[in-house]
Amino acid sequence: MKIFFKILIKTAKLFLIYSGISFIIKIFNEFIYFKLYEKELKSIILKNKPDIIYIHEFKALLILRKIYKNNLLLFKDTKFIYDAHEIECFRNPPKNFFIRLIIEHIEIKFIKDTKSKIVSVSHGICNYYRNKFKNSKKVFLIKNLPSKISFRNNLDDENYLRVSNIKKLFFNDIQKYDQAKLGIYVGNITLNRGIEETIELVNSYPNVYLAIIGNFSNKNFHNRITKLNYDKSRIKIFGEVHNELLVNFIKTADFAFVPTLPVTLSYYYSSPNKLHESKAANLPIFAQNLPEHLIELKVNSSQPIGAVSDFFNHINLKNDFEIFLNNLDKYKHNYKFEKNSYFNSPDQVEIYQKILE
Amino acid sequence: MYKDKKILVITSRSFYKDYRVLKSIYNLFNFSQNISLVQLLKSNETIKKNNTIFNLNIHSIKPYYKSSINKEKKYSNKIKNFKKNENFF
Repeated sequence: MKIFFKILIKTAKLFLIYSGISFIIKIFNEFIYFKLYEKELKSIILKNKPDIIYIHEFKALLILRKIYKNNLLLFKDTKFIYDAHEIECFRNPPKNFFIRLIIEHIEIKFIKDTKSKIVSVSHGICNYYRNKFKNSKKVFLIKNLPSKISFRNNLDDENYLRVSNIKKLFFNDIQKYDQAKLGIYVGNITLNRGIEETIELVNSYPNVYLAIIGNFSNKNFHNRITKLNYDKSRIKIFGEVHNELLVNFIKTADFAFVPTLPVTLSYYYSSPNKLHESKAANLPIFAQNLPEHLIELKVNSSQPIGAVSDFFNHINLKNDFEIFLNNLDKYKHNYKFEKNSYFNSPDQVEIYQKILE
Repeated sequence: MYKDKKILVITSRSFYKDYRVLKSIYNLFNFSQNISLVQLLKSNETIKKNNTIFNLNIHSIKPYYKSSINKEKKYSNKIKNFKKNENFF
């Protein structure tokens, strides 16, 4: 018994030493990595002398922070705008407690020092920052609405998408085209997005089909999905479609999945692109039960455009999905009362005016 | 009011891929035409030509020392010249 405890204590000690060393190496690596960016960015800022700096995401803030700290005079009259695409310290995959604290401290300190205005994607994330700074006037909501404007010059390679649509591409059999119920998932194919749960769910309904439109984030997840046991004739994976073509491309589908799993706070408050794209395409939406989804789908109103469920709870999920499938026409009909909003709507331009004030 | 203001947009990934960045640039263009963009790329990311509708002053930064970037350019030019060579199969 004594020997067993001795071995246990020794392994615990070794584990602690190993995790400590790996933590220090990780921080040291990051430090060197960012130092290299810093030098070049500083020279660009010195050359340009910008009046407004618009920072996208935390990595850019982290590098800029060092330059700001050492060159306060350089930024004397500069306005800062920080676009937080997500809550960085609670991003997926979940981070170590200490790393989370460090990120949070850096982010808050920089925003306070520079009096930055904050832009974010959802009500939840905006409220998170409002609570952090106890100031509601410096936080602005800009949703990830789909765009009709093309930002690229050459569109020749995507021409087939302009004439085609997801249902035509999915079904060769015309008979199936009218009868089948086709669901779509749009977005990055990666961990904790609820893709595995969605595949499992669709696989158990023989008359339901699923088109996954997006790219795999890495090879490991690709292998994980291909290893899953599912009907490959009913569940197909397509490549990424550009934003300005996407809404028309998915319009012919019957409904959309937004199964983001609330594994981190950032995902819990998320307002994913796929949600707004599916809304713009007037598709009934079956989503994970999250605060932003409840608002966007008007679940608690008399005119919902979709339903929510818990993708972790397999038994309830099936029941909810069946009810959702039976009410597809009702959700579709409710879109008549919905204002269809796209990027660059007058309200968005107005918000930008306020941000730059 | 903002016409002559210089705006610097800093993004932590290739801006062609990120529609939120593209949309913010589009909106900022309503206020000022003088926009520069810095994209902080990963060491394995390739620098692509500006294929967007925006006429931007783009700076791409990779985590290299300047000497390493020069070396990289030097070798990529050599490879290009080698490929142009008629005897290259």
